[in-house]
Amino acid sequence: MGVWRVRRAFGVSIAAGTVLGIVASGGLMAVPGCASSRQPAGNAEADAAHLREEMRTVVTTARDRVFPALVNIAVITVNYYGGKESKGGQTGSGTIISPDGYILTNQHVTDMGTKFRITLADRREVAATVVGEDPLTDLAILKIDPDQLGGTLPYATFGDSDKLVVGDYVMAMGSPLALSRSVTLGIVSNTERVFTTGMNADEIDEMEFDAGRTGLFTSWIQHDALINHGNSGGPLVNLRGEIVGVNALGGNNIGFAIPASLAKDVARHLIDDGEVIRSAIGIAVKPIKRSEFKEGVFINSVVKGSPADKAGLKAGDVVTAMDGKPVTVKFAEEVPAFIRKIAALPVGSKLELAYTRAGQTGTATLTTEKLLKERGDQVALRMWGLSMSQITQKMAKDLQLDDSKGAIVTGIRRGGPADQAEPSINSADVIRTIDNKPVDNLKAIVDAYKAIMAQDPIPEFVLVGFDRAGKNQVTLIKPRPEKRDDPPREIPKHWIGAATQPVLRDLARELGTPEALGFRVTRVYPGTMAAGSKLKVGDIVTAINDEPIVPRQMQDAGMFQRRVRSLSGEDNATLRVFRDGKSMEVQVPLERTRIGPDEALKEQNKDFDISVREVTFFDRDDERWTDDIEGVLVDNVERAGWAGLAGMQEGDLVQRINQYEIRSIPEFRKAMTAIAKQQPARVTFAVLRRNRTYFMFAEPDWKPMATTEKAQEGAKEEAAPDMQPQPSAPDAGKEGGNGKPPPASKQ
Amino acid sequence: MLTFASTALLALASFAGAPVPPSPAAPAPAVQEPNTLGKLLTQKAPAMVSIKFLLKSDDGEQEAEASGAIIDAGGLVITSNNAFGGLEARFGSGTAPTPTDIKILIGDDTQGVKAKFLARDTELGLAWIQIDEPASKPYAFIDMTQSAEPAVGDKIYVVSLMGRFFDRAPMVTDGFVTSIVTKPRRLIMPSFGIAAGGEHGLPLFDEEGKVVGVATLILPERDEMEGMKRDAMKGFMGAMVLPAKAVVTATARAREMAKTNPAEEGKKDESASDGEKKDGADKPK
Repeated sequence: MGVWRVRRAFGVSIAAGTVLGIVASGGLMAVPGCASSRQPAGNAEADAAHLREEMRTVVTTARDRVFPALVNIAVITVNYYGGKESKGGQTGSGTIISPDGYILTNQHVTDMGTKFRITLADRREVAATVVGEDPLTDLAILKIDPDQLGGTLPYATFGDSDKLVVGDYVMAMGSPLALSRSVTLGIVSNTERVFTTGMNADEIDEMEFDAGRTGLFTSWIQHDALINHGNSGGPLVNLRGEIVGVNALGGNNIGFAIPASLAKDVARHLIDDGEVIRSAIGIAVKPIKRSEFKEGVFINSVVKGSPADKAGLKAGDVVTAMDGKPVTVKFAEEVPAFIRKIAALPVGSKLELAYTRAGQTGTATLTTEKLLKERGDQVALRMWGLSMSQITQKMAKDLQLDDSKGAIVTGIRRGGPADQAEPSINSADVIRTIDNKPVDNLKAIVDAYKAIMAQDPIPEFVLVGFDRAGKNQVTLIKPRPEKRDDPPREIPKHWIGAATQPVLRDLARELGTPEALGFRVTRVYPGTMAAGSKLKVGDIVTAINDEPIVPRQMQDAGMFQRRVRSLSGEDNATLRVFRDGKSMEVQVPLERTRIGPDEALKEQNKDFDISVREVTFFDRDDERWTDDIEGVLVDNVERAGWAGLAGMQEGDLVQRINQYEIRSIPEFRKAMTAIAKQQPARVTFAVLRRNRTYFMFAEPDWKPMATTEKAQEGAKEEAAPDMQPQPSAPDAGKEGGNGKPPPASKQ
Repeated sequence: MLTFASTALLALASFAGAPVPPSPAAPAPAVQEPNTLGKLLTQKAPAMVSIKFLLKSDDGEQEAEASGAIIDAGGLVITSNNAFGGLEARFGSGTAPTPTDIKILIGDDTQGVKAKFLARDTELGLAWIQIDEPASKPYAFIDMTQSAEPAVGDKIYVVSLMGRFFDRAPMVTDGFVTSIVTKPRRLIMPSFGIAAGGEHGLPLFDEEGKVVGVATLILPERDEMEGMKRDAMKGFMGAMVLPAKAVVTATARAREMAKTNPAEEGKKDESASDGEKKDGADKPK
């Protein structure tokens, strides 16, 4: 509509009108310096140019206020699936919000993160630590050290998001890729968007775990400034160059930002306390839109044992006033504000609720309690093949456990010790005792695990007591190191180092020797005994040891080597061949079948998350690597492991690691053990990929996996600054050389 | 070789005979006992085993079970390599899974005795596993050298163990030779009952208890798939029998491999990547 008016007023083309329309339809009012552009008709082109110029100035000025403070965040994560921990990575955006280096971003960017690398606008890189995370609002605060960056840091300031109105211009900023920063422009489409469950449902579900609850307190700013993956955590900026939101969701030309009013508050709590302490009374709310009620807040359910329960409130009650002030939640959009009001009260506050029940009115006085943490810390016990989570009080309530003692099983590695235990341990079982001793929390279990696994030899059985659906069971876990055995060996058989193709009737005729039905030699492998014989490419083999070998069709392609393999006893085979139209006999020494990739010796390295194997004859032939090319072949690379992050790929031939030449599996093992002891900041892998050399620079973090330690401390925030050094994985210390990392240092 | 008719007569004349002591190595009796099937079952079952193991791959590990038979007094077990990751080794992409934690369950045993993977023959679909725990007495076994070559139409039998739920009770299944093929090598094709019920890796017998071969799966190799049409495997019913003589030859090779000192072999292999050239000179003795 605005576009229409603009087009008429200025008489410009539609293409230009798109830009102008944005300016004229509201921005003029909000932007100082732009308010005087109404000119007499006839000067349209000059107007347009003027406006364009002014708009450009406004946008670039606003941009320049935030851009220097915009950062890219690269996160290494550790997840616990199926009883093992696996590394991964994610990236997002963030904004430096203070001169001392606090960075505001989304919690889903930092989620499960163990290592954070910040790229500043000027491309400097620096490590960051987590200050606090608030999954309920999807916000998190990271911290970088200004001293590492010359003392001063650019930062952006918050604007007043409550003053945003539908139609206001906003800019989304972010760095979807490590070095690129982007700005997109749009307008506010909605300032109080909420997400409800289901098609036409009007409930905001507060009973769900984790992600389901994210946004419970949020009236989202919906806008159409384009945002993409990697924009998460980036700022939504007004034309004054102030942060008015944190972009968290988007796609399909629609974006959702957490309003700055909420973000600013959460950021302050996270910086001051490491967490956001909120009040709760234990009710779920349903809007009264479709009910018979005209006003009030409808209680959809009451959590057992909660303040609301204790005060006698029941599901179906309608709260009419809170501390004497009338309250109403008619539409879903009004739920967040109501819940925020309760959450904002100091924990332990007295709250008076007036309500009606079946036409009767009543009053309940209750004391708010702390809103409980949604999710417990997690850990994987690899040699037992299970992952577990601390049981939060919230989880204990939701899962109807008697208390929050023990730890809950979150995943089982298929075929692993916990899976093979009889009876087997399942997800959602609660582990209560280990070797008859009670284990009250995750830390106690990890301690018991470490003590047991440190024994030499490892005990055959561990007695584990667990609860499943109210039944207390005991089982035996047989701990097992994760080592993989060498592959079984193939029975050696005879082999001739030549490749062949079947010569069928028509081909034989056209080759000029219709009687030469057999196998034509297409390659004599160099370095084999066949290469030392008189066998030549082009020879057509028609009999082996006087037994004819005649292919009938293309699917007989493997018949030559099948026949050779089934020979027994002899050292030589006599091949009858046709060469240049003449039949002759060629003696070829038989040698043993070559080791294939499946039989090759393998070695796994946990520090860099790669596995390598010896190079086989067939690898050499595939890659055309001559015998003087030596190394170990990369069999598997974990994408987010240090080698994977450095660019290592499957199929790379590792030839040198730092100063160590790698020619064999034992040499690889030796080099990796030495490097693990030295713990250098950078490890350079020289590899051969096909026929080109590549250098990979890995920057391993020799410090322990933070999450394991965090789990033991029970709280992420407490553990982060000074962790006790531990091997990166509970069972890594045994064979790897990284059993003794240096004391944790500041990153 | 007995004919159909005589088998039928024997079956008619059958009665519940006294239990025969398990001595699979005993030579076949000169005179046919009545109830061939019952006798075979009693005679052969003690040598039949279940094999429990873990298949470890890059994705994780998987508990698995296979059937097999003890083929010497020292506890050498023959089984199907296809169950031990052999199919993946032949046709799969990526790395074939590695079998570990192998346990041999004799009879209705539930715990099993430790065993190690001795050798595999991917082409023949066979694997050899050696019981790795000292035994108080020699194992009951199937003597593969006591063999027979059946003709098309001859009766053949397989003795196997039922599943865990039935406490691994022994069972016997009969069938007949439907064809003898020579491609990709000489193989006996069994009738459907045996092909479907008899698991791969188990020996098959004639009426006299002589071994005719071992049930297995021999499939085309990668380079033989070229030009393969849909109906290329027409008439194939899921298992084929590798004649006893071929099994004996392959077993001899497996034993030979076992004789080479594994530690020594390991060392040689460890230094092998600087000696890929050397490898060519390593011939079977």
